[in-house]
Amino acid sequence: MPPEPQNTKLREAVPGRPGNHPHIADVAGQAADRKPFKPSRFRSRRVRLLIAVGVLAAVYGLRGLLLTACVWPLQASGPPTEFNHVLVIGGDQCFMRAAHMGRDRRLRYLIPRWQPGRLVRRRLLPSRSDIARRHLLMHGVDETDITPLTTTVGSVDHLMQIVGQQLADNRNISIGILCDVFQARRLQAIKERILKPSHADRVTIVGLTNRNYARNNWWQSKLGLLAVFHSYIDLYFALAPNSTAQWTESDPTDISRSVVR
Amino acid sequence: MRPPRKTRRWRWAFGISLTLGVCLYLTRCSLLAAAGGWLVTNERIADPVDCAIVLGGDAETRPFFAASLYQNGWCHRVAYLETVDSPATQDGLLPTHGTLMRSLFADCGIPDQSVIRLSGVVDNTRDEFERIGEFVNRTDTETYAVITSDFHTRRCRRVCDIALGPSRHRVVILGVPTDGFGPHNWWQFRGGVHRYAAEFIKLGRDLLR
Repeated sequence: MPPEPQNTKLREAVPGRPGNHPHIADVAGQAADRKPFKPSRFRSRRVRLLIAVGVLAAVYGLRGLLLTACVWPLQASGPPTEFNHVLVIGGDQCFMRAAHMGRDRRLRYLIPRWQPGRLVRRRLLPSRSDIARRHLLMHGVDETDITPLTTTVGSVDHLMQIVGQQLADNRNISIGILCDVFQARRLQAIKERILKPSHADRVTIVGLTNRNYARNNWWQSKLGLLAVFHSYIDLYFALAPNSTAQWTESDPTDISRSVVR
Repeated sequence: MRPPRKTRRWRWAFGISLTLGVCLYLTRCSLLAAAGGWLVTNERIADPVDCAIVLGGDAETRPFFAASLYQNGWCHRVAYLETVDSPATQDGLLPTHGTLMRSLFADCGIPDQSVIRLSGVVDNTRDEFERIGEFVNRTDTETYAVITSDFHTRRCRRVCDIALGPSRHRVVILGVPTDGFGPHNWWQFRGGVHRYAAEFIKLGRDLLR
């Protein structure tokens, strides 16, 4: 007797098998031999491709929303609180907005004294505190409302310590720190890290939109892209301030590495 | 019982990734220093050049280096390029880049007739080298040193090769160390990460162009 063929079609052709006519399909036998349904490799790839295309189309369609959401970690919004002192840290419209705030109520403007660079020391450029003072005067702030801080600061961390000192010395002052919209979270993190909770409550971080970019269009300009890129780096350094490296000035007049003597 | 092949594959992939991650973390300082060092491709000059051209930016270091070259007899003239005004300059709170360069070179004792302003207003490295190309191609014999920051030298060399073509051999790119950080510790400073990371991105963009 010939061996029983495994293939159903061949089995159909075996003569003498009961109920197995060559023109009648052995449906029951086929069903028993069939493996569980598994899509072909090609079909599953096609499905994956369709899903990928769908996801890409959705991302493209919602790119505005997604890119706006990308800068959400850089922003900080606290409850609006009143303040009677203003400190401006960067941001191109901050001085103007600070001056405008002073039109509605009596405000005092604190100006930090930053560590002077080489050009400032050689009197080739005005100091940052001088620029800030002139900026405020340009926007109509009275000279008597401007208070320069006496201590020289080298970083925002150090400045926040000075702010803490001011808050400890004067119980009736509250400070609004005006900064770029993408620097707000960084300053919030520095504030929470350095100031005591009782002092931190008296400091409000106000993030202001830049004239060159905003939350919903930062990716359309080079300045906006750079601001977001730098702000994320700044935020990282604000959240993980573990560097022990010392910042030292180089000697730019040393030409020994560039000439063959 | 032996786990199925797919599970074994995932375990292998996880193990290799973990080992790789640990190795990268443990050697991160060496890798980052090597990456920073790769950006610095400082050239050297053996003979005095006719003119030292200072690229825009990093005014705290680059012009002082050019002035030092002049004072030590390594260049006969210094040149600068006018850059796009910042908002503070537009508001009249800061001098323009050109004004700053003139006063800086005067402060360093360089006579005004030895200071040249290259034509045009530039916004990026490509613009700068286009202007430098026009300036360099005016003569066939003069030699030049382009002064930039050390981390910027690799990209400068690349742009210079493209922009200057056959005149490239008459130009050397000299790198000036930046204040505060260098290729050996740039990742420890906020400013260092700003500069070096941006430089890597710009270099990658230039390579893709």
